[in-house]
Amino acid sequence: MPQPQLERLAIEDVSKVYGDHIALRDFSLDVAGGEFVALLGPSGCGKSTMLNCLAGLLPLTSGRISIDGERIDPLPPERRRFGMVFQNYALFPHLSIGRNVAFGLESQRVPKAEIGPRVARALHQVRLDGLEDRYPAQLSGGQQQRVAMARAIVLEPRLILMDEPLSNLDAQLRTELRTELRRLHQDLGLTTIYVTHDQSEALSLADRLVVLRNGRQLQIGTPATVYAEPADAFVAAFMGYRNLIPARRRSGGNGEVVVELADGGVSLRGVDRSASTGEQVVVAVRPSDFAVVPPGEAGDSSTADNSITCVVRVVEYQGEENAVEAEAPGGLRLHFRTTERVAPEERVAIHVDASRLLVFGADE
Amino acid sequence: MSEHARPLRERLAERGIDRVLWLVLPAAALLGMLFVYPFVYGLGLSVQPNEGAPVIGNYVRFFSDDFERSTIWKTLVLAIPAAVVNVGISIPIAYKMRGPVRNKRLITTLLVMPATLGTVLVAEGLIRYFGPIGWFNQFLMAIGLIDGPLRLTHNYVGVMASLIITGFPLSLLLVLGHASGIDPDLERAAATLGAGPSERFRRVVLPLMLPGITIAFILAFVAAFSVFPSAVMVGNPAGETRVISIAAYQAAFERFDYPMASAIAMIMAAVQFAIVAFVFLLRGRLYRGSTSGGKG
Repeated sequence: MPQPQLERLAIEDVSKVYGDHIALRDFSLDVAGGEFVALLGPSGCGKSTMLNCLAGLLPLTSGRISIDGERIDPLPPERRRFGMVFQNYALFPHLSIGRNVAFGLESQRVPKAEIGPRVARALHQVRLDGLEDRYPAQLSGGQQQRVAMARAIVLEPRLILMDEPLSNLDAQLRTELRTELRRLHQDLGLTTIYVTHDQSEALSLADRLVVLRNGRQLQIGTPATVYAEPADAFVAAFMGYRNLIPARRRSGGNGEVVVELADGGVSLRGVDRSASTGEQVVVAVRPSDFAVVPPGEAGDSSTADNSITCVVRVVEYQGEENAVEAEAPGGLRLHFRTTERVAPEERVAIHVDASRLLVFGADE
Repeated sequence: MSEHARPLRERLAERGIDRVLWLVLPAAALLGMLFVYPFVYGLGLSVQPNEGAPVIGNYVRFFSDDFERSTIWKTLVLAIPAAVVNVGISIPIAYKMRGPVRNKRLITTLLVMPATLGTVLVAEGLIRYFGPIGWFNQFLMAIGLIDGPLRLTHNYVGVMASLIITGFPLSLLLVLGHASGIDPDLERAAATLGAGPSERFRRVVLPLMLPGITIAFILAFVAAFSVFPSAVMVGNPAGETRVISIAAYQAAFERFDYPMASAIAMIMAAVQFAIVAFVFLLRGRLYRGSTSGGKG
């Protein structure tokens, strides 16, 4: 893997305020050269704001950004030497593919003799050899986004910024291009900041994730850490914990806790992840962590076997398994996945391992 | 089934020829009556000169008479600069206003207002404001900048001012309409690729604005070329602003020489056509497609 062009990108306490709306609040992050960091969150969480601040397309309200000790936040975008890939590709429609890729080289007064070979090499890296003379409108969405990547990497930028580059592509192409992105990153050793709202994209691409909400950083960590140990109920929801159930803390200690579901009198054991010992908590369980208890073994919602009895309402067939929505006592909606055949209106008991049930403070 | 075995109707339909095509008829008839018929009639009339002169006698007479011939040039030196100025002012304003701008609606309304006034009102305003005893001259004299009034009306300047005031709003609307469609991400992309503000304008925004600019120029030119009321009211219709439409008017309604007036109208059409064709020729060599950078 080639040497990255920067050793350390430091983002310190960056805020962006629009009138009385705080789009980004004290964002801090250290990125090592060659690292692939994903900013993850729902729309409006501040992830694109942070990316645009990095690119120089938005002025900071406060904070500083530096690369290897040199402050870059006062620089206009054209002097930062970053590459950026946009969600809508942003190819110049009036220029051929070759001229699009050459655009930055021409701006930076690279000698003419050097431009041709560099454009060809960049197009080769994104597997679009020989398309120099086509126009953007003649290419498919996937090809256009590859051109956009070629246009960014041809400059050998010290940092690549990607703003939801795969969002406009259909599902199959998205997976394909995702692999491509990862390969490019490995081959070229590009330091990359990648913005997405898609957790699977973030998990599969990034070395590190930053989860954002309402302009705040909720959690920074490796994909494995964020996936297995979400910092709070919101991150858990983003990481696939579809069941978020309000509950009351009854007893606990040593990281284990017993909770009573708010509406139903069911008690469950789980892992205590709350920062405080408040009574109001939220229980988080992934649909795939529930298992249907075979009939006959079901004890009625006992703490001992950590299970809930519920009535199946909706069954969605999804090939290898079914996605089920069921109703627990008190009108609580639960989601689980099972390979068992279940039918609507059937009563089933579902079990969850205590280590797979996370308990968060309700107000965190 | 071979190609020839299929019914004719089916094969025609594939080429877009089917019963729906009848719907074109009313519009075609209207165009025929409003445009083609008068044009052909005028053309016919123009080659039937009075007093048994040869067929092209009217054209010969127009081009051999310096007073008549010079109207072409007098009109062009008004129409082309007016179109250039109108479109030229529109470009930077449209460039600034293409994105989100505060009070955009109000600003657009104010800029476009002059188009609703009509030539006569504008002419009257020009005389009151720029005339020899108008406020503008009184102000300049009051502050001692000039001794006598500047001659700003009843000459070339007055007509030019009128053409700009009434023509600019249309140009702005056309250029702005086109510029608003340019994806702002394109300029941002150009910035991240190392292009500074002037390079971004020159290499990205201007080329994408050009088709709109071309259309605006053509319409501004055609509108200015047929200038008549302001050439009479704030111009010098016997001298430097005796434009070609005045020549046609005088032939038709002062000398009652309809064939000559028709010939002048034909010459007018030919000059306009030549300029428009030239601009389209230039435009054909420029990019004309989409102004967005991809899927939006």
